[in-house]
Amino acid sequence: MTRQSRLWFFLAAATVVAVLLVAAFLALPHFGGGFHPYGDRSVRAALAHRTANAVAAVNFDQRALDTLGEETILFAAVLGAVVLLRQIPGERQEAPRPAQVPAAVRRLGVLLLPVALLVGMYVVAHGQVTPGGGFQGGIVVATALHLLYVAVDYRALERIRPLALYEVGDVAGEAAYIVTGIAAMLAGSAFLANVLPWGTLGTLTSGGTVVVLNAAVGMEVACGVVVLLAMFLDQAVRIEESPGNSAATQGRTGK
Amino acid sequence: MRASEGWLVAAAVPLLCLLPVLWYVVRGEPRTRLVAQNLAQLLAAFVLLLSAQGFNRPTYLDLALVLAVLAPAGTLVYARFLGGLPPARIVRWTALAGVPAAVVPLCVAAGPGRQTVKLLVIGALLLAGALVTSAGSQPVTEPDAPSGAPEPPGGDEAAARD
Amino acid sequence: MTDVLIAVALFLVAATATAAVLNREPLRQALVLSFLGLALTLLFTFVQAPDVALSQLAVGSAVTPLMIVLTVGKVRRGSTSREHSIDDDDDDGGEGDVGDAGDAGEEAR
Repeated sequence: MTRQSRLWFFLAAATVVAVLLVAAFLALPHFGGGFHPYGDRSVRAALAHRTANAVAAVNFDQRALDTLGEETILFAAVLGAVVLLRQIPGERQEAPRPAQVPAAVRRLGVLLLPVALLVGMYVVAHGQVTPGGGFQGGIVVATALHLLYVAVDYRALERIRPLALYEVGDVAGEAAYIVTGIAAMLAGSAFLANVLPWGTLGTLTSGGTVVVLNAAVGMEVACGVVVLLAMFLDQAVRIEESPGNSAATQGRTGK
Repeated sequence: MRASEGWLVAAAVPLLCLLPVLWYVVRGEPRTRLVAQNLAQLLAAFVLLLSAQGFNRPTYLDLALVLAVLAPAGTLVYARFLGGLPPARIVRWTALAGVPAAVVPLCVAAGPGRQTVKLLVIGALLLAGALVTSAGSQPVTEPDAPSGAPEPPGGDEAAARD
Repeated sequence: MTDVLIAVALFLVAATATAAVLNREPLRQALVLSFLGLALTLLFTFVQAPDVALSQLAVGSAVTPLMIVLTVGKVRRGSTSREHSIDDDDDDGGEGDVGDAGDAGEEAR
């Protein structure tokens, strides 16, 4: 098929889809109406467990099993990236080229790092009260650490990032979530049921297991993203093909 | 509430300013686009600050706080790859004029308390980030790469002896 | 007034997403995608979904650009070194015009 005919075919199909979409949109109920059966019930259930952030209540209390699945997806993705981007025979590690950054940028990075870390942990800790939670806060923590890479140098980042610890942290976060669920079963309830004392609405320790699961997800996401970025960074900044090897299919024993 | 409408109208001002910035982000050299992206982050922070007051939801300030700490990181990522920060007077002047213009009325409206402290912190972070990333730097020739020198012992043992 | 804000934000998202598709070179596209992330954050805030907005903001600010930029750098270095190696059979070279297929290694200078 030539390019022209492909384009015409696409335009014909797109027109049909567009007509159908417009017809469908015109028949939709109005945005923001007053009838929200599911919303009413979940907000009521969230307030019954004293969780001010209803979204966090849905994520970590009412549908905690789904969040376990999502966390595992991230875990599996990081695992896949570690496998795909690992160093293979035929590649070797070189020292990263030192970067030249203006002094002001370096100072900003070093000053901003603890502030960003604090903000990330604040977002994780307040997940049951204000918008945010484990996932968002975990990403902010991971990005805060990488400020040391973008504002200073890769070597500086490596000094504060012993990778083995972060890999352990990733696994520990994932495990903590499951252990909390099993603990709920041991306490006589269902897997991932909210068995801890619910506390007062709007305080940091409200919501029962939402607090614990928030922290577990926060640790898992932060460590997982650090490991993920470490694989990308190593490939981009350290690993180089050994001279004379065109592909990685060398019959080399060892690593 | 009538008063909130005023804040939402104020939030629409930086929002509409994003339209010409979009024009510069989608066309031109990467260095121009980087300046436009930096400016867009600053304007988005203003929109978030003013909308938090307009919707009467102080919790939305967390969005502006996260943007204020992550925006310099985002700009510096591209700068590292493009080999340096382009000098950006428009970002500096927008920050110097816009941050006080947005933060001071919001602090007055919030009154003394934790919210004002949060607003001042966000304002300071936005100002610091914008001023440093708009200062510009000498373009470095090449972005990050392995230096060509083998890693001192402790690196890969299998490939060391070829 | 909220409707006006939502309308402007929707327009920004639509325009930026179209521009992101029309920009083929990876680095320029990454910069447009950063802007798209910001526009999405604003849209989610205006429809009163701050958790989603915070997720988008956190991920699209630095993590996604960093991954894209590192990948582009590595692939470009890989393609130029391959064109200098002795037993190279490829004829692409490293120079290319604005790529029309999703080929990540082409430059658009």
